[in-house]
Amino acid sequence: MTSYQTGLLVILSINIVIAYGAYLPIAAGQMNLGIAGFMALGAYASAYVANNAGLPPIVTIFIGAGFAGLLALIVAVPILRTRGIYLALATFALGQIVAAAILNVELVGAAEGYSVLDHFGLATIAPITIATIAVVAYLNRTRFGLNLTAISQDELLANLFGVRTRRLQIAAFTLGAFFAGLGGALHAHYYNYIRPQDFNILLSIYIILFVLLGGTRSVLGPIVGAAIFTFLPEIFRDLDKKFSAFFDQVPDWLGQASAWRFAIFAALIIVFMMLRPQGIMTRGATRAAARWVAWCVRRLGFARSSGARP
Amino acid sequence: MSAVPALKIDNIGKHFGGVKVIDQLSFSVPLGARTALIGPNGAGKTTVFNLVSGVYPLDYGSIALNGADVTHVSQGERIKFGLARSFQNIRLIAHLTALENILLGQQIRAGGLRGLLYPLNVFRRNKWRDEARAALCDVGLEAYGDDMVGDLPYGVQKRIDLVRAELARPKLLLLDEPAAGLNPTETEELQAHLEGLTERGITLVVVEHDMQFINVLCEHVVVLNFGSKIAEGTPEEVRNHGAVREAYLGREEDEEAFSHAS
Amino acid sequence: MKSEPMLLAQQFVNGLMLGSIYALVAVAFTLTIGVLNFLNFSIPGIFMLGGMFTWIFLKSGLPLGLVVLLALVIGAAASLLVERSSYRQMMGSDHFIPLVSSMGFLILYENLVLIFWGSDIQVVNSPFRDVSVTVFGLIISIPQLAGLALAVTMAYVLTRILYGTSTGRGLRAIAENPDSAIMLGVHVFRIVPVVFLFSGLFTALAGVIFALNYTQVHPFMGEEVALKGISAMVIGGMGSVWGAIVGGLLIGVAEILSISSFGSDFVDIAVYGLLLVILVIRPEGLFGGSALGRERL
Repeated sequence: MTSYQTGLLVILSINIVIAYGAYLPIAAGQMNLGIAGFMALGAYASAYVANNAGLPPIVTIFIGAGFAGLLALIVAVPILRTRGIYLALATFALGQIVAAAILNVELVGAAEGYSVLDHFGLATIAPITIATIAVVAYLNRTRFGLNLTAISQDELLANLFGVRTRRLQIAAFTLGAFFAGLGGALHAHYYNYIRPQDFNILLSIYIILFVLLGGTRSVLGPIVGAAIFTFLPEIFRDLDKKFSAFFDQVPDWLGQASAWRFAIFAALIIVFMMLRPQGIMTRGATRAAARWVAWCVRRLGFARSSGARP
Repeated sequence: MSAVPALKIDNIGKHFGGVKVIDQLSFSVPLGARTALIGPNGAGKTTVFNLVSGVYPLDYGSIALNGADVTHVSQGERIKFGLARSFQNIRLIAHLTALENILLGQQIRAGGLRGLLYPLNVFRRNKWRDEARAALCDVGLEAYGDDMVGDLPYGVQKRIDLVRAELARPKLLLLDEPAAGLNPTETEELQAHLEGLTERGITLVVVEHDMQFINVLCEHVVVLNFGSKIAEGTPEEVRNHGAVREAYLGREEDEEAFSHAS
Repeated sequence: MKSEPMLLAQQFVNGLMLGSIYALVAVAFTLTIGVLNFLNFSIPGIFMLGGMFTWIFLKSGLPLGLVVLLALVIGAAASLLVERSSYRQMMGSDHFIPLVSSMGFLILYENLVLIFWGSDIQVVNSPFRDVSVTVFGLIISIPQLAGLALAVTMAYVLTRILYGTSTGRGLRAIAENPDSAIMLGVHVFRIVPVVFLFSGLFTALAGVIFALNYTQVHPFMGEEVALKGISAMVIGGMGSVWGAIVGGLLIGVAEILSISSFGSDFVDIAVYGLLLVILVIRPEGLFGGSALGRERL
């Protein structure tokens, strides 16, 4: 693998962890528009602890994630009293406050940005991502996951059957913030340099968008969404150079690769929400994918065993 | 009826805006019986269910389940007092499979954090899924277990809704129009099924428009009109009650239903 | 050299002027929220379209009146496109899908403009650059004065429409209860585009005034202003037209007055903190009032 490809995989891994931060509250019917704020908290807390406390780096990222989860738990009780637009706006305001507050803390460099001494590569980040996926996949197969779906669809009904709706919503919100903080901490330890303005409202919006594009009814949805979001720009890389092979004159606007990426991504979201609002990975699609993987594994195993025979 | 009633409604009232939907209503449901709650459209039957299950708070009065006063118990806690209900417009979770919807019915028995994090769908077998599947088998729906509930036919959804409520193992089951939209065969099966529930000790309260269904099934009938009780007794007694005839006057289908039954 | 009280008065006036822009955007937000319970995230994008197209058309030498008209038409069209492909498609489906779709439109509009006109800050050749009126020694720029007057006038007209015409009664019926509005024969599908049309016009107008007055535009100019507009709307009470105007002016004045004494970061914390507290403790807004909006997305 080239270092460029490794870099892409790292970004994908981090995006997947963050995606579950948005996925969990959405699965409980709540939108957290302050994901970037929780990421920032996780990133800065882990970076500060890593630079000053002399703990093993792997511990510091979980401390960072813990801080994000703790903030979520503290604010969840008042904030989750609100619903719908009010909840979306309250979490949005919370995210803005966290970013603006960090901007004023000289201890972590304020607007200058903050350097992180420890570096994580794919070898550290990928296992954490896999563990995150495993945790969410497990939760999806318990009453916890079942009840979250029930709450998001019909809160009253779930409550009448004895589901502790508020507690579960707080749990989903807090666990989501924990994963967002974990993703932020990984981000800090991969890029080794963080600035408050990296964690703006637009980032929160992108995370919500790619999670919903992937789909929120299957644990695979956030992975697919994160993959599309991560790999889409690669298609548009050097668009002007590709075109110059066919045309003499290449217009300027073909060179705006990152803007094309976002424009296409946005168009994809709009079209998907119109035609297939449940996202790419429904449970049916997940089952089909699982069957396909099983088939591939069987073929592979078959080929290997037949190859080993002579 | 010296025993403690399964449900005791004592002088309750509820208004929405300026409209008194339930007004000074009292009645009791004897333990182990099948009681029907009938009345013209808008009489407040479903509101009574919503008040009993705690969906709306009472304006005044009190409600007791098996002798325990639940007036100030929240809607999420009342199921602990042995209360479960079905809904007039079926309320299944469309994005879950039939089996998973039934698993939701067991919630109250699953216990706290351990029950919440117990793996339901990791190993091939576990007691909750086995129980849910067996319950589906009992009503002949085993084939639909893994289908998304939203895609299933109405009659099937209706049965899943009922099975889900049963798996909460309630002592008192409120059924809001269980026979609506069912064909005659399905209605007969439902009757037999509900009689089976009483044999297992479950007290039933049924809101239903189909008078013939009630005449066959229920031994105790409470008649509401404009949020108040106008009559109570056996189907026979209620049928011959003057106020009831008056309340239903001009509603031909019910006239027909009455004559048909008698 | 101005005296201290005069300086303060001048800053107050500047705050009101900036606030009038926030107020227009806040009214746009409050319209879709109050009537449709829809938080329209494409509004920053439409604001930006208003500003950017003012620059583009002025650069091409069109007369000012035509420039404003064209920018407004583009803003209104962009808003109707959002209605067609997000709100209308998704009535009755999952409740946050229109919100998500409108976020998609924000990103689409910003990046399309970026692709064709670049991300640089452009200087608008505003005919009002050096023209202003002086009242009692206070300098007041003409587009801002027009903006303030328009904000108040349009709010007045809007309340008259809401309470005096059959369309307005239909709008309020939808705000009260969409389902029974349909049953009562309110033509929801004819009225909803009207809401988006007004909302788009208000937003684009704010963008045009911003471009003419502050003479700087870029593809992401809408975000900051819209965030302040949202705060203004919440402070004034969601769904209330006059609340949005008052909230907008309040934030404008508070921002200008406090930046000189506290710095802009502190202002951000204060504004968003206030926003959070209001949402949790007093969701009907600071001024009580009868918010049309209820708790739904």
